Amino acid sequence: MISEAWIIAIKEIKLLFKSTRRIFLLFTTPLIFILIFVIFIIVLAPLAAAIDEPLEVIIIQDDAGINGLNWGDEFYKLLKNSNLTKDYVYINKSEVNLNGLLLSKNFSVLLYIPANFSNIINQSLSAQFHLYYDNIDVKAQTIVSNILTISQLFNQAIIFFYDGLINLNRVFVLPEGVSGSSGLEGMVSSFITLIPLYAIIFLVIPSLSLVLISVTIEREQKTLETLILQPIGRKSIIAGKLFYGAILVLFNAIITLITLFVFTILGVLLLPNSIKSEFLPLLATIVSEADISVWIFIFYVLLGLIIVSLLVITAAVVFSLMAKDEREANMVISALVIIPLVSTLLIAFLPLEIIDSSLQTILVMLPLLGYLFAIYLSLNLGKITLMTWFSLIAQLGWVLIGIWFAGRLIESEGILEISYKRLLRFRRK
Amino acid sequence: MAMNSIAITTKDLTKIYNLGKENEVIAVQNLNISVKRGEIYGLLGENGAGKTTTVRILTTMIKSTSGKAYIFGNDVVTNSSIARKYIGCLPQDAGLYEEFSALENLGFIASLRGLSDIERKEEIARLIKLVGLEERKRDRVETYSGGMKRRLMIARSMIGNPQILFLDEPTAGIDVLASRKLREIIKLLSKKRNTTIILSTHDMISAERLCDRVGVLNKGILVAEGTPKDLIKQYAGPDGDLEDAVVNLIGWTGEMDEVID
Repeated sequence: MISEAWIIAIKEIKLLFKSTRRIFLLFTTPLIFILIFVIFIIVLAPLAAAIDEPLEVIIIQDDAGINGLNWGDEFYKLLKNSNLTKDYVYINKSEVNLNGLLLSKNFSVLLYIPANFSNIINQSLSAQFHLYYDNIDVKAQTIVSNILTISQLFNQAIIFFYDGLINLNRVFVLPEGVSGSSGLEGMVSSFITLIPLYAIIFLVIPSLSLVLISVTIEREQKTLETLILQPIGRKSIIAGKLFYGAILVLFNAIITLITLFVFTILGVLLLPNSIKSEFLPLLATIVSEADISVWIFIFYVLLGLIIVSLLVITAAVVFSLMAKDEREANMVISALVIIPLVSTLLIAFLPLEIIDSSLQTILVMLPLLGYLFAIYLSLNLGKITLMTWFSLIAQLGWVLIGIWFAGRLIESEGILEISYKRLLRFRRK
Repeated sequence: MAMNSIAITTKDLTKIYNLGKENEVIAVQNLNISVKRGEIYGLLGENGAGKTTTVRILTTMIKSTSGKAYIFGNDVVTNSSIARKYIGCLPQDAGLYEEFSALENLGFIASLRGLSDIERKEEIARLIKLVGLEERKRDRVETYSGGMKRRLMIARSMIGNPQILFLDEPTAGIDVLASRKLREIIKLLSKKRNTTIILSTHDMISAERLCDRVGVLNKGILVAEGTPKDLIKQYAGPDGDLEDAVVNLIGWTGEMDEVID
């Protein structure tokens, strides 16, 4: 059976390369990544270049001083000598009119030290300096925050951005005692749950379409009849289609990984030096400090991806076998894949507290959705429980049910005439 | 492989579509035939007489409702994979892989039938020549005419030198020359290779010239069986031909005047 299935899979691959549309489908995922990368380069390249440019601070030092002492000059010196702020380029424009400069907005950070600065400090009161900056410029925000750290010595600052006062206190505060599926941790696990979801969308869906096309072509061109007439077990035909699907998923995964690898390296090379010097050691630290449970979790996710891929391909074979043509198959498959995918989006953002344990058990057993929900569950609990492993077994069970059902279908003599239209008509009767 | 002299046997073979439902159709009823090895057997009858259903049961594509059918002693239901090894089939409406060339279409089936690389190449070259597709053998099938496709299907049914060849309407859609050539091929296969051929056809000329025996089906029932000569003698009279015999057997009176008036 294996060799016959292999011959069928090879035939499918040869047929795939006879059609531009199918070749395009095969390379959809890497093409999408290349497109995303190109867009990033176009949008982010000027930004990245700007990050490495020396950061400029315009200073208007109006402080008149008192008794031969000028605290404004001292502050200026402090900024130029402190580790946090010494790398900035300070442009002294004390002779320029402040209002004119503010109107022109031709700066990213402007530090204004008023004339009474030393006088007020001399009276042991809180002196004020003014910071004007472009608050959508991340670079300017960093400068402001660093100057404020240094300025703690000098009491108080009033922060302005281009069009008025702003509040710099944008610190995310977690309420006490919050954990689990709500709050920040919940958001993190929701987003991590979406990673395998995207892996399924990008790696499996193009393969699913190709398997679906291959089965419906057999139906449309009436070659299924020819296959059935050959001295091979009919289950070999199913196995051949599954082989074909598995090869496609594997091929897609490999070329996508190669594309991602190449473009990640390119991306890192294009990163500004300042980010590169922080990012790479951080990545190395994360990898080296990940404990065994993290690797078990990654293994779980990957194993699940393989099983779920097989499940989706089996579903494609089963449902396209029942379809009269590609259009019919596409309609049914789209509905069947989109429902669990959209459900994942809903469930992965639901607090676990409102899903009781019996419902959770049912959810992890569902095809496709169950696997994604199990990931969400283990992320929130912080461990892989028996229930999450059980979910994988359930997924494998669905694959076997699918294969069995596809086998039964192709054994049935009505296979050449079956269609969803007929099935619906039958139900109506 | 030890070869039985009886290639095909059916015992009370019956096929009823939609059994027990309002639209129940009896396609084949208590069919008993026996075809010897090397014999050319014609299945004749009007549309819906049960010819194609019989071929489909014998080629293991569908299961009978009751009765048995054997291919060289192998039950077509319980031993279908083995039975299919003896069979080559040209179904009425099976298709070709339109994006493949003739070579690729034949190559795929040859691989499935377990031919080695050398055997495959030789066999395909021989069959392509036989059906006259040498010049177009590398072109995509989607560019072929209907007749060329039919010829390619005929070649495909002969891959692996099957012991029994089921030909369902083989001459439909092919020109006179190709049709004559096909008749020659069928004769040679039967004589030289001792291939059993089941010919389901409306082409009475082919049936009369080729078949050793014919069976006439009417509404699923075998109404007559014998050599073409015997049937003509018995049912058409001295000046008649096989067509007259079949027409008389299935009961058409020939009175069309009223319909036209």
